[in-house]
Amino acid sequence: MHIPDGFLSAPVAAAGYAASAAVLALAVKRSGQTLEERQVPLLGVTTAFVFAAQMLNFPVAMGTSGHFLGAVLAAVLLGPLNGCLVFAAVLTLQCLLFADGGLTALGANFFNMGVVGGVGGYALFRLATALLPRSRRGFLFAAALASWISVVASASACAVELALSGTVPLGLVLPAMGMVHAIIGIGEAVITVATLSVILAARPDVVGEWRGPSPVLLVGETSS
Amino acid sequence: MSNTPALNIENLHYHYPDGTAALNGITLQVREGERVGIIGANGAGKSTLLLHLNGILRGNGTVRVFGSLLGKGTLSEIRNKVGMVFQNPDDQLFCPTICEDVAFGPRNMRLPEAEVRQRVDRAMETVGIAPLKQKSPFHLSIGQKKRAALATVLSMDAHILALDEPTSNLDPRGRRGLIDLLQAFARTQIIATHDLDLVRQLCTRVVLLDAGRIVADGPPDSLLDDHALLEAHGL
Amino acid sequence: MTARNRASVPALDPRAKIVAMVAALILCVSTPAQRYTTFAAYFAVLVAAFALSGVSARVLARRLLAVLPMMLLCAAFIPFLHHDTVGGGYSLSFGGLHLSRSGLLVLWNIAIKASLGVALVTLLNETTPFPLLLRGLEQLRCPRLGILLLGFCHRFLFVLRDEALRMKRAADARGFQGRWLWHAPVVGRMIGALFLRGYERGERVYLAMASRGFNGGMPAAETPPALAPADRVFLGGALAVFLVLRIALP
Repeated sequence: MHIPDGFLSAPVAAAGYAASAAVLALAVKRSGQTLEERQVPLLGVTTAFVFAAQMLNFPVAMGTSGHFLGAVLAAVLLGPLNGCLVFAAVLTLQCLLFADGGLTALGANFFNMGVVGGVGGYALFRLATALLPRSRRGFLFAAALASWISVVASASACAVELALSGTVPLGLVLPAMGMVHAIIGIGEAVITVATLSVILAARPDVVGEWRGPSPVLLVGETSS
Repeated sequence: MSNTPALNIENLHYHYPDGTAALNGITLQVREGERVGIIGANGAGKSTLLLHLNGILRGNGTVRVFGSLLGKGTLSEIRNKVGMVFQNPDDQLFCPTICEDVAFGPRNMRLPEAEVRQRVDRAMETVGIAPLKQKSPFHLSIGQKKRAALATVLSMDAHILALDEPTSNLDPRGRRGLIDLLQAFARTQIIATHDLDLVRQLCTRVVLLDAGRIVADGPPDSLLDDHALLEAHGL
Repeated sequence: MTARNRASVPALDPRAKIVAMVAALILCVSTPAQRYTTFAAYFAVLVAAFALSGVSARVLARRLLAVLPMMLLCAAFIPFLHHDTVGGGYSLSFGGLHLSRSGLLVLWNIAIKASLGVALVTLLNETTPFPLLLRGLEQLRCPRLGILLLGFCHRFLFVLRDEALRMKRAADARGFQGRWLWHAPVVGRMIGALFLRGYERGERVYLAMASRGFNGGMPAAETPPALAPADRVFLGGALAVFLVLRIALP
């Protein structure tokens, strides 16, 4: 889903940058107010985690594989704005280190995955948790739903941008991308749920959005 | 130097938030220049005790470093005096280059840049990794990383070195090199370790912990030869 | 992967290289697709740059492969593109030929620009060790929080990747063959374990930083020195070459 250089027309690429810059400015401003000192290294390591997790391919069917996106996972763990910061760092690093995703398309790529996938998915997650019973099951189901939709929505945003740039015909690509990612999204949902349940079992205190039974801390509280 | 002990711990208790007691009334005095080995089975409280030396954990009881009582007001002063080297150098070294990591402490002390640079050079020289300045920690061997981790607190001119398992995961030669290095420092050292040979070679005193209590305290030769004692406390 | 020190270009200031790369990239991407001579000239300049800097073509080839799926996806839809413009017919009349030509132009456009983009980025990161690249970005006044985050991420990326690979190997050693969608939970549990290890490492890193006097703000780095004459010559030359090619050639 990483758009390379040259696939987007100048207005679309510029709009991607503008939208991303606005969201990031907000995230930095907010996090500057609330970012506790201990969160800086945690955000850094989580960024590395999302990066590493995206390297693990998961099987879709008979040899074809998709890779994990993790936008909803990051938002549920860290909150939507910190999740945004993490995604911006991941995508920038992928672009600068591995030339994965074009530099001129970086704004659009961040918009698709970090904003549409992450913030959009998170909003859906909040909506679902409000409607569903406040239990572990409801929590995980909401995460599954949100992460499935986040993948489909990211892919659709990607298709729309490519079509606006005149690179592909929208009428055909939108359903095609949507269909393929509806399948990949199942993998995303399954992985998000499995990941969250492992974390909820061991360290519920680190799941930012978990409002369930109060956790038993495993590490000493630190003071400074 | 006066008679003030480098470190004075009185009746220190610590419980983890889930209620498990980790330290059960530790009282310990360390004179300047002593090299104290802290030994004990897994879970005896060695690392927990170390984390109290610079206020990362705070239990009930008092900790004094060169006479000043550890508290909110003295925290940064004491953290500059007690250099903590963690067991896993990958936790300690977090900057893109070794050089920046070694400069991290002095810069937090708000030293002028020229002095920071001087201290970085000296610290890296001392531990013998001067040529690795611009390297990323990822490209270093474990032995080199352990040395670099040591340099990050030497550059702060720490008076007390608190080391957690300094020889773990080192090959025999790396281990010997590190022991020689530590032997050359005149500073007070407090070393939590399972490596009894290291204690025998390096330390002037041994403290044996079990279940958060000090069960023995004495010179290494007599204490480490008391096999019945060691066996009884899980070593 | 890792940036290795190469003989000729690493001596240059990373700031000069970053600005040159970004400017060249923008000029390349904004070039109209029909200006074949210009693209040929870009190509020649890049071949020369690769030869001078000693960056291996194999690295480039590997990265170009990664762009291929997206390219194929777009290529698959080329026959359907612009069919409105020729009245919806797929006949082999003149209209049909015209259709395929405009489609091919779109394909050529994305193929050449994506390749040039990958080549430029590869050139930069293969000649500049990442820490220097970060310092360059910082000196160019990129936001500090971002630089900090990138630095942390790069530092622990390889540590975590190795942990991920060890876990995968341990699973493979016990006969795990992920082939179907319902094997995905296994991958999920691995990712969960990976997160916990990463998170707890983050906590320990924080403790190690706090032990050295960290209290939220990162110590300020030194003020950047001015660009050396050699860097100015390189930057000026690179900008001039790409500008001339972009504007003057047909």
